[in-house]
Amino acid sequence: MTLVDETVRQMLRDRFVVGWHNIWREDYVGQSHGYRRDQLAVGTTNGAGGRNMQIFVLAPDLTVVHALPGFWHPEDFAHELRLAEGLFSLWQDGQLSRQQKDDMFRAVQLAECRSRCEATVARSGWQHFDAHAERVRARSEPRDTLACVSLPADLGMVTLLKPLNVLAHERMAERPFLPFAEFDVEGFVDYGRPYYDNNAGRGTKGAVLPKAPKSKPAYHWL
Amino acid sequence: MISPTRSFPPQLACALLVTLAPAAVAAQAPAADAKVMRTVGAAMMEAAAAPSFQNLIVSGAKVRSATHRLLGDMTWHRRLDQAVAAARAQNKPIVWVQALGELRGLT
Repeated sequence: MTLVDETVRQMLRDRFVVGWHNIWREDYVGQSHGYRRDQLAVGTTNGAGGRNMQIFVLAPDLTVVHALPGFWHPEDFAHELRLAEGLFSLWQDGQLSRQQKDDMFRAVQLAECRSRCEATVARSGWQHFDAHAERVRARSEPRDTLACVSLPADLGMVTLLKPLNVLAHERMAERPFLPFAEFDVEGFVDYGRPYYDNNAGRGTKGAVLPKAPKSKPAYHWL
Repeated sequence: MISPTRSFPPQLACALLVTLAPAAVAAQAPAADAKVMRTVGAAMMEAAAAPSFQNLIVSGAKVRSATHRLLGDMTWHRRLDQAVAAARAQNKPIVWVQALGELRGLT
């Protein structure tokens, strides 16, 4: 439901050139049982299904001015499109050096991590199976998906999963104005469960995937 | 990046945050704790905002009609070089969607 929202549709029609590419041959896609276009649709969280859908905003010279993994709430997606228009203008600016453009790109992306409203952050929670898979991975390798937050009154630190809007912008900040051909899609969407199997519990090669908790906690993205 | 050895049981973290939030508010937590309060606030917001989005259900008929409008209202390029030519001509950025499946069919 990201693209069919009325505001988003008008923005796409009037301010962008649009294209669609089926990535079913790519190695990084997750499994999916598929959805018909006349099938019931349900809401999800920002960034859900990042391996199966990526939305790039490209300059005509195929420079990536912005990218988003997965599905997005229409309100948040419209905001991201406006941000991408600003970054496109920045890329086209003839007065600034490449270094200045890159610095501004990083600053804008990181500012987005802090400036979005609480509703956006709330909509950017992790699906419980992705959160679980990410925590399992973090036990054996360093991950940029988690943040240490200090508790008040010297109670120590807690490790929390970053909201996916924050993760997406942080990862974009590391990829300023890259040529599309050099954009590391696999690294960009590397979070959560590698394969979506509608809870069958197995990956593409039959490997048993870590089981998600049975009950979904209220604050599952923390 | 953080070290995985510093991980914290998530259930305990949730319990701590939810328990501490009212006390921290009452004590007017200093600015250094604003990040924690923001996190707690976001968690509480999720209880209200995120489920309303996640529980959204749109009928198949509405999805079909909206998709039909999306397809009919603009030209969806299937080849990047064609999109680039159109973008150059109109000096517009390109929204290039990479997805598992087809916009006109199964996604």
